[in-house]
Amino acid sequence: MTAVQQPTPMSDAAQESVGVPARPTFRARAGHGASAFLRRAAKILAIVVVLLLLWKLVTVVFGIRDFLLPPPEQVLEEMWANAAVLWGHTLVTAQEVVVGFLIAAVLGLGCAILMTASQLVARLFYPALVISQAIPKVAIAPLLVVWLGFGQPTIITIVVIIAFFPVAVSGAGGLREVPRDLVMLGNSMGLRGARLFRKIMIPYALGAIFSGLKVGMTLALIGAVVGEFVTGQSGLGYYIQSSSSAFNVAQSFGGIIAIVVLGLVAFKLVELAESLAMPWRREHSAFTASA
Amino acid sequence: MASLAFRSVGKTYRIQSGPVQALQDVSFDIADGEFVSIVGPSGCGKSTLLKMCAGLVPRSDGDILVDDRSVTGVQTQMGVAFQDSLLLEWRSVLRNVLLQIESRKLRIEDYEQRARDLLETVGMESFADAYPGQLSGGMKQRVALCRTLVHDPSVLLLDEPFGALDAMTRDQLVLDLGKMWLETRKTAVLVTHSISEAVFLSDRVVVMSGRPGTILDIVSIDIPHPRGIAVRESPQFVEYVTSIGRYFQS
Repeated sequence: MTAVQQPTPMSDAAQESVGVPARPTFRARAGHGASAFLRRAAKILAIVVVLLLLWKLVTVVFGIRDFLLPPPEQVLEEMWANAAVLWGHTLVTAQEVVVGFLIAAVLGLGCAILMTASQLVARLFYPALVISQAIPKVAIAPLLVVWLGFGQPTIITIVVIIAFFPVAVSGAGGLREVPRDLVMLGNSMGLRGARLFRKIMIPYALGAIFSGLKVGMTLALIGAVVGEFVTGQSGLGYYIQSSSSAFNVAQSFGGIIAIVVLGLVAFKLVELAESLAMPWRREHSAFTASA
Repeated sequence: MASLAFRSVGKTYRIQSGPVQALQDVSFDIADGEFVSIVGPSGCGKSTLLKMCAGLVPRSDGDILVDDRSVTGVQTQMGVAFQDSLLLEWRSVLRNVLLQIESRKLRIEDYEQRARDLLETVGMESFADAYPGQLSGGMKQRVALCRTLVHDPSVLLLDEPFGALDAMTRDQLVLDLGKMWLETRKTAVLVTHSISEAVFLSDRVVVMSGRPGTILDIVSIDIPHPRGIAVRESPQFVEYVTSIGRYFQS
């Protein structure tokens, strides 16, 4: 996280003589950004193609039989043939991830704010929160089935539990890093309580909050798939498991690819939210890139 | 405008190995419109003294009076500046200055012109819409000074505002501050490590000892305002600086 007090490498005189205005620099980068996006997309596509070729090569060279590792074209064919079914299961999993993640984000941030606002809450909960990090949350999934029964509410609960901790811990950590003098400056202006959080502390901690949200989103998907392994009647976890037990390995691979794509989309959505919430970061990095 | 009075002020911190006396029996007065600097070695509690005056840190002993009223809570009528500029990187320069107004729930429209005027005094008017990430350390501290002044505070409390800057930038900012102070003649307290900075700006300089911080001397600087840059070469100025410097030679 870049600190507010971070000293700039340029001396005063040097920077003033350069005097680069912010806006033209930013606009220049926007044009640059479109071609950068295309170049990045091409790079990703190239990596995917190389991976598929390698996969194909391995199956041919080592003569691996189809029911152990099907060649990529067979997997893609399978996905195409089953597209509607696969899409349906993807939507189920996506729904669990989104609902669970949103609940976890709200609870996690609320918990982080409470722990920062109250010394008492912090003393009671912070050690517990750190210790609970060591518990493999996946291990309690079967227990939750016992307590809550089968079905989507149980899966969403697993998602919430697994995604909650990184959000709460990073959030609390970020809020604790707000410099004491900055809090005092706020106090000297008459900012206290909720207004101090809204105007100074939460924006200051946004970087840490979003790194927690990114980890939380990644874990949310894992939670949903594990939940479906344990208790699902639909969703990608269920799809993979039922395909595997029917020895339809091509179908299992189709499910895995769908999970990868879903994970990438979910992660990118959080990154998009981050850049929308912190526009000054983009402008700042544009400046340092061109300076 | 306001006068300040410190009456046997003390500060004791409780740490694991026992109580630590940071400040002891500090007593002096600051008249309305006076500029007073506090110099002393690191850890003598001079910053703490300033924060206690603003009501940001509770005192352990004695009393601090602002216009004959004891400080019991945060003194929001004052303007405080810190060693770091503490600009919010998500706000433009102008909106950083206006945070002072927004936080006090005053009408922003009433103060926007004043904020722009202040930025102009320190040569930052063309950066009103820039973000702090684009500014150098000296430029940030200039904006912070404008933020300290924009709400027309009764007292200025400056906690080593130039401490993190290089020598050349620092000299320029000291001149800027002197100019801004002369325009309003507000009661001002500056905490600093730099004796020459203190002598240049102040009507009186309070010299403090190391921990526990106590007052060694209070020196009146009898050089008329406005003081130009040439003042610093005058024998009178040099004499003040060397005589205060003697307190810190061991």
